[in-house]
Amino acid sequence: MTKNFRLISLLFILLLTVSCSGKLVLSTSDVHALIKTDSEMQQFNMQLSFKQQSFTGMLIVQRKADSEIRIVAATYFGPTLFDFGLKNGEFVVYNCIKPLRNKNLIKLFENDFKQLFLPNRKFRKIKEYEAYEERVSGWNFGKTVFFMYKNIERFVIKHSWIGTTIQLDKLMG
Amino acid sequence: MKNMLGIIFMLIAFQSSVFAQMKEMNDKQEFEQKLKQTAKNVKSIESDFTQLKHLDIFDNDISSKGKFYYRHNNKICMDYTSPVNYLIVINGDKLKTVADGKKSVVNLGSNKSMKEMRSMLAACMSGDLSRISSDYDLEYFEDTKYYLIIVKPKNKTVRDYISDFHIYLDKKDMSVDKLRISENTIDYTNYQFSNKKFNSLQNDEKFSVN
Repeated sequence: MTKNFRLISLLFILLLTVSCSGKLVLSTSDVHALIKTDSEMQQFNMQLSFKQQSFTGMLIVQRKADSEIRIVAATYFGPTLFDFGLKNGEFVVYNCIKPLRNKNLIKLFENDFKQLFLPNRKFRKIKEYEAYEERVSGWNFGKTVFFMYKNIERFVIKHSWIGTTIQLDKLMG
Repeated sequence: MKNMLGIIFMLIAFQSSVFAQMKEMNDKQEFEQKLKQTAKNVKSIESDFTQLKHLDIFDNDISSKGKFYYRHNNKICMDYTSPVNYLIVINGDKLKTVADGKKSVVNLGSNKSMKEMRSMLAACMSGDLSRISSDYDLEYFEDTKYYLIIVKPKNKTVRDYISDFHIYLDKKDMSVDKLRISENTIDYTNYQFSNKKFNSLQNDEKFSVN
């Protein structure tokens, strides 16, 4: 009797733990893009944090008539920081200011933007919670966690190993 | 006869449109005198601004608005209110930005290009062209309403970011009415200044970088 009671209690506790930790989605193919793009221009407030430093600007995204997704970042004052394109799965660098023209940094942007804007990307793990969805890709130093907040149109990309976070908040109008 | 009248009418219309366009400045000396006098008398400027960023690749321009403040000597504050609250202050060798409650202060002192850019911006936004160094070529134009100064950097490092500045000075009071900063031949940012107040700022409160 006591043994059965302990077993049932243990099962009950396990059940509670699983239900509170969010739904684990094991399928990592056939997933929708985190940020859907279309012919309408979208603007995001972009906050880039690297260790103790932070930078704020805007990210502008639009799918062009030839299906290319154009991604441009600029300071609020005006100057363009970078101008990238995603076409047929390829990442194109149209323009990038000198300080950001680093091979590893460009590769980071390529991976992040592909995961954000393209559908059917490979993720190691996808978890759905009430308020947000969490997607994990890569391992160790290459590990990236993507958060999509459902009610406030916020997207966060965390590269914990290199101390970098990119937060995008959609701007209206 | 009718055709002849039509042709004459079109020629007159064409002439009118040509004269409405900018032409090379007639009297540069008079312009420089007026500008010198204004720079002497105007110690601060406060105005609203509307900013339109034009990127050729996109269908729509990106609009921002806010308040602009300038105080002698080279102090600039741009307080954006739309689409987000964002503050830029340039005071001396310091550049401060505040976004989402987070403050960042950068020292421009060690960077020659940044210092030059700061002077350039102050000159463009205040109209005090005497602050523009010899590292820039200037061209002078005018129409009935404006003086237009086109400023082109000679320095390749600066030209990588900015191809030229178009400064429109209102002939009424020699204040900067419009400013265009071009990144290349097709992408630029326009600033339109309105509701201008002169000499209204009595202290440097708006320009604190602490």
